[in-house]
Amino acid sequence: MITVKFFGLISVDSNIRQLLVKEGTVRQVLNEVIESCPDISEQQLTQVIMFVNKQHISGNKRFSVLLRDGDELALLSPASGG
Amino acid sequence: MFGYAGKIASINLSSGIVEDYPVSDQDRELFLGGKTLAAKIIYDSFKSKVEAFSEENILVITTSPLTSSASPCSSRFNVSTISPLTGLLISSNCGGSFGLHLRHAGYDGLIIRGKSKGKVYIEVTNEAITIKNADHLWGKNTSEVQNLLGEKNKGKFVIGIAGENMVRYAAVISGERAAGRGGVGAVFGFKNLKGIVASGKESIETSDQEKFKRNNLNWIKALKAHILTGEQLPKLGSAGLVSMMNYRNLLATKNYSRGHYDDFETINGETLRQEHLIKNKGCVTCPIQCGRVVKAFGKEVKGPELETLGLLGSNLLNKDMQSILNLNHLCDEYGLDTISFGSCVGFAMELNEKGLWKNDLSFGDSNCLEELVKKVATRQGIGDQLAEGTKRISDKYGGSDFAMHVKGLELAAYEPRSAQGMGLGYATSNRGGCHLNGGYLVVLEGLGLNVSGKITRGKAAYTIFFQDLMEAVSVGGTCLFTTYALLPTGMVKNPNHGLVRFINKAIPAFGPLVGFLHNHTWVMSFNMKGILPHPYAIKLVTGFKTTIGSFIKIGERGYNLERIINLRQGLKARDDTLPKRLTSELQRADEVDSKVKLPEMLKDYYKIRGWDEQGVPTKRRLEKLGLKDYRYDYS
Repeated sequence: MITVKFFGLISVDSNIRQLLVKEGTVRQVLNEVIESCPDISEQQLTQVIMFVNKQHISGNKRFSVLLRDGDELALLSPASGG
Repeated sequence: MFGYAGKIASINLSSGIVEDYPVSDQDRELFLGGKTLAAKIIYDSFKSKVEAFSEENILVITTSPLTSSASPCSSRFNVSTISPLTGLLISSNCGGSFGLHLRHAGYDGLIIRGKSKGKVYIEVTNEAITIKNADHLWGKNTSEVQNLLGEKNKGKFVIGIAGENMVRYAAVISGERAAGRGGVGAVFGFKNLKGIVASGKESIETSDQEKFKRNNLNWIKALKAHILTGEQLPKLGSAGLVSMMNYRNLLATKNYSRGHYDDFETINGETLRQEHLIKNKGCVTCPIQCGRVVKAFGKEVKGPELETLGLLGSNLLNKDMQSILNLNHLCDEYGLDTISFGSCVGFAMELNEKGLWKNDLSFGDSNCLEELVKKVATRQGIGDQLAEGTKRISDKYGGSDFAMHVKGLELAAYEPRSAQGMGLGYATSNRGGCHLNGGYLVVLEGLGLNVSGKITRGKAAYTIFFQDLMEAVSVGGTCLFTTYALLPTGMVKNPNHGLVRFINKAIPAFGPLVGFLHNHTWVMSFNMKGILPHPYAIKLVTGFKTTIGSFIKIGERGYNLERIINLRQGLKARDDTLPKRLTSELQRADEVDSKVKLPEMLKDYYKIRGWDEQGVPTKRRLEKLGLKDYRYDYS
């Protein structure tokens, strides 16, 4: 299983902090997130900053990254101010 | 006179004499208020180096033209002195209501000189300034003292037991807000001054009331509409940064030995909100409301912000959020800076781990920390040594390579090996290891925008520009959080958009242009109130011809004047540095770039600043800034 973690506004607004989903590409995992969490929109997911196992992934290629059993996908809304 | 109460009082605690301190209209326009006006007063008051704990040292409390106005986030006021931690100028900014009440009492500022023989506090009203006996207040914590000093419609600014005991990082508290950094509270304690209380009914005239009102409404609307100031900060507070910092390797962990904490989810903003938040709260006139209300020791109290979560959490490997809430509250009650306290304890833990100082403190063991706050504040046992600050502990026990301070001031919670610009900012900040006075370039380097933190190109110019911008915003009297709304919402909200990614990549290449604009501020002799409302608001309040360009120049003037004072206090170019851990140890063993490459940035920094190789502002630069009488003489 893949652990999807939510941080920042996406977590607050959807009231979800963590979700377990099936293996697949990032795109497939995000589709499953949308299905499981009606409060999260496709647009929100295109805006989040993503990390796979703490490594930043960006660009259009990020959607094709393959996630395997035990991987972690972190979705973070932009944050600032300290 | 518009925008000012018109008076600054000089109060001599040795003689009891209270008199007016003259400030010319020209100086008001040149230095505006806040920390820059305070620096001018401090420069003029000393002829040579002054020790922090000496009768000669003065406390200068200053407000700004926007303090207590209807502008958003404008309750800010400043206190400056020679710091007992750094021996240099420290300016500490506070969001409590004291500044507002001081202005209502008819004063833009107070200068406190000398040293009282007995314990005293100062009462400031429209009618008089009175030095009063404080025997009944001594030995009491900050909330109790404020309760004893009277009703809610008075502004109070007080020290706790830590200040009385001259803990070198003692804070001064107004309401629940702290002037935390640099040990200003210890100077209060040295002077036997427990606090100041101000009240009155004076009002400040505004040059163009109608336009000012309109500008404020638009400004508030813009802050509420922005994703950072209108959503993230109200919902998560500055604690909302913990998670992003952790993923970006920016979160000070285990005495800054790394930038991520495995247990960060127990101390992040999401956990704070979900499990502890009662409501949010803000300073007077603040539409952002980033403050948290939580429970500690069964009471509703102020919650921690990002710095506190970092320094008392990840930095100590403390994953117990309730422990952090309790520690934060205790530090406020005793009057201690949470950043310096957490950093000193982290350093002591590593010294213990390495066998350099056997002190029973261990990373991950939070059980003793509440007792430790009390020991530091009262200077009991090990607390007496911790009360001296990281630099002095290192002088005694060694470990200077991992003593995490700059110029004597402990670093904030941003681990800079993944943010080169933040590293340069820490190294050059006039206060020492301060993120805000350092320019807070991390806002571009992964928090807000997504400019690479690994590269050094262009970072010197941006650091300088942001240092001077932050200085000017502070001097105007507005909270620095208002500057996050200057980041284009579209760029912040859409970090994955192709164009945004291209701009983030291109930003360092614009360093030379930013350097040019900084050094030719006349190019920006206009206002764009929709982008930078601060100078326009100052113009409307004071009637000064403030533009974006002149506003940045006020910041630069302040930065250079503070530098001159620091040089007079003995600062050398070699002090513009970082602990060796950050410049020599790799943050991540597999990434050769994961250290701060300071020398290559510092050279550019001096050049763009118009400083010579010794880090001294040149005569030409000072003349350009209207500071020709404020030189540093090498001899």
